[in-house]
Amino acid sequence: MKAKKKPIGLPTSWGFVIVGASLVINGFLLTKIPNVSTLVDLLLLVGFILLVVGTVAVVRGVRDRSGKGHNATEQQARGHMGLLDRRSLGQLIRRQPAFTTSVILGVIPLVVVLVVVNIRPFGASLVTTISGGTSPWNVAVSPDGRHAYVTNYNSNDLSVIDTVSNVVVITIPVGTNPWKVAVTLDGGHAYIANYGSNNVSVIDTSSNAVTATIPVGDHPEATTVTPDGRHAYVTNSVSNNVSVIDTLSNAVTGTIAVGIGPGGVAVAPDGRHAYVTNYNSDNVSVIDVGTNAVTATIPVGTNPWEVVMAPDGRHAYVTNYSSNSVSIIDLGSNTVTATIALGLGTAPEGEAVTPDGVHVYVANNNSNNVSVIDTLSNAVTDTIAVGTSPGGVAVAPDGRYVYVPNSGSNNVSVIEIAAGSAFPAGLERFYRQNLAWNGCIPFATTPEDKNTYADPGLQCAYLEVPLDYAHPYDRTVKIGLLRRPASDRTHRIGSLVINPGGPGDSGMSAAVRMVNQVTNNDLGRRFDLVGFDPRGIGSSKPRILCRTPVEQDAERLMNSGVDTSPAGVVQTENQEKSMTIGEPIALGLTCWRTSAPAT
Amino acid sequence: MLANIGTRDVVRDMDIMRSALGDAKLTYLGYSYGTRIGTAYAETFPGNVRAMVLDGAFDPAENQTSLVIEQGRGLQQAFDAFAAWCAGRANCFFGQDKSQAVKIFHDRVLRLIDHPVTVSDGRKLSYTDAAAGVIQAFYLPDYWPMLNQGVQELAEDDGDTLMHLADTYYERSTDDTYST
Repeated sequence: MKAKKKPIGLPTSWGFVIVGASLVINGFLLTKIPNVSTLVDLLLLVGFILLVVGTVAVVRGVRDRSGKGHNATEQQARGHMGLLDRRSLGQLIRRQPAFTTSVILGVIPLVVVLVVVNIRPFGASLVTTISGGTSPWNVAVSPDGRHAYVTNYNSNDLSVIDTVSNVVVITIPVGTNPWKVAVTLDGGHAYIANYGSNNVSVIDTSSNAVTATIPVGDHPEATTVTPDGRHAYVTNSVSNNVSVIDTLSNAVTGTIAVGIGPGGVAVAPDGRHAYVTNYNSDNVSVIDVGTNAVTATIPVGTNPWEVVMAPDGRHAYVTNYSSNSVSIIDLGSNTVTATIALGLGTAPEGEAVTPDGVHVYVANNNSNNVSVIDTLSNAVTDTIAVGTSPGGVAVAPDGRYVYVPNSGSNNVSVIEIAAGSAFPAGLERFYRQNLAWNGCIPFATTPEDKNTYADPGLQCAYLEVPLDYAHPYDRTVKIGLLRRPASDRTHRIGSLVINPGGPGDSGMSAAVRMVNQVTNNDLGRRFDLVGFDPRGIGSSKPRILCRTPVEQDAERLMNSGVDTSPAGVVQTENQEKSMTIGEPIALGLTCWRTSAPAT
Repeated sequence: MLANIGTRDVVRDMDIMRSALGDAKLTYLGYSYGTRIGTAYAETFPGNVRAMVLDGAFDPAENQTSLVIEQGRGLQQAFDAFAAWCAGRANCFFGQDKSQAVKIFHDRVLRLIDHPVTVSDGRKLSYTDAAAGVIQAFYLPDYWPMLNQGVQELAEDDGDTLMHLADTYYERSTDDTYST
């Protein structure tokens, strides 16, 4: 018998097929994660080669097995792995180490990659990348969410992206080295700080034309516009001051000295104060917008880069470039109340807060990813890989998309935030709020309640809810809660919420009256008894009072509707009918007159 | 603000409350109009209800007229239960004969329509007040002794006890103010 080159054994062939298929599938899965393109290409190439070689070998092996000139031992050694082999898997694994190894080699990476790609805490995923100018650094989204504006630092222009089609619709030439961009609240104008030409470009967003170029200080870095649209603040990083622009005349009307190397700037939602990060003095200057005077200086981390505001105006978030952290400033006390280490994120630059205030996105320039901070727990809950050297980040007004310009890879990553939240849209911060339980006396609104609420076994707290569920980011209402905790904590089932009716009765008072009924039974042992004052009632804020006590006393004396004779019924009906038009309006006006405004 | 005060808003507030209290599902006890809050909550968040007790239930399908009729029927039942309890007591306002209960009750309270009784603080107990006091007492048997005493007092032109029950019903505080 003529000597023949030894063919690849069938078990090994199957191994090639399995590992190859695994690599190819992994390669495709990994395309969901950006910034690994070389690795993906390699995986796909090797995978395809193994798959082809393995498949050819399997086909040949099966054909050989059908019987020409091979001895029984050889057949036994490689023949039993054919397509229709019915031998048990256990036997195969024992007898064919090559097969076992290939299964392990193929399946384990597949499982790992599946986990990495799909089980992300937030389900945030990259939907696309948009190519544009050179060194795209910063981004702002229009208030209507239709356009994203991206500054291209090295091509000296601004890309306008249509957020529906995710394509650049126009590129507008601006000054030299445009850095940070701000859009006015009405969406009408964009302001761009041109770092290299010491001026600010003003763009009319309806015509996409530059309508003004305003000279400012040395190396301007960032702009922001006050909520009323009347003034723009520009940080001049080398002249260590802030230029104030009157947006009607497009003239600089003031210059405010701040710290060293001012970079980021933001104005609080109430428009009263501006906050400036001073990169080289490691602090934040607080400017009174009315007087343009610096009223406070807040120490933060090392090399603060950018500052953004929580939508409720209670906190500001500052990225610390060199300490890889975010400082949270309490705007009431102008102090840092927490510092969040970014972990996998290094050199944080731009940042953005979601419209509901629940998350902050931070672009990490050195680690090529975006950190997601949960502001309710002050923890980093996710780190999303993007392109090379991301510098800015913006969140769409609907909170669904995040835009990240990658200055190193000359594109913009678009991240979709998973819609599958466990909470109704926009209400997460309400659903996840922490209740601060304290004594109940401050919640009492009557002398009787002052007595009964003093019971040390009772706890009270305010629940915050949106005034108008159609606009949950606007004003809020506080609902008073009272609870008598379950006495048997280990067998506690949950809360027993009660409401006494009315409408208009205090559920807190009603719960206090019920305490004696549950103290010595399973209800009191295994449930927290909870009463609440519905919105507008009792301790809730604002409280609605529609009539004065004198008016209410007088109404009780009227004996209305007591005449049950046919004539009396007609009279009552007529009274009720007339009430449906005039009196509710009058009553409404009285309510408006006597009630406290919403907060 | 007034545009945002209503049962629909209250049940959404309750779902936020449920979540903030750490409960996966709501356990709820509602009385009277509070039962409407319960049914509206169950309509809005059918998957978030663990258990509900609705006492003195408000039928959301009823119109205004039938609501009043049904409420009257319910109050009559409560009155009958109260009268049965009262008849077994030594000092019951109508004595021991239950068949006299409605008649004697009417004699005492209908008189208030034209002749309100002045109470200790100078206010006048109207028929409306007496009715409110009676309804208040029907919420809980604990109030029945007070109700019996209140109707007894009317015989001596004294309205303090019924006025106290009425003030409870209207949530009128001892500082002369109302909760709502």
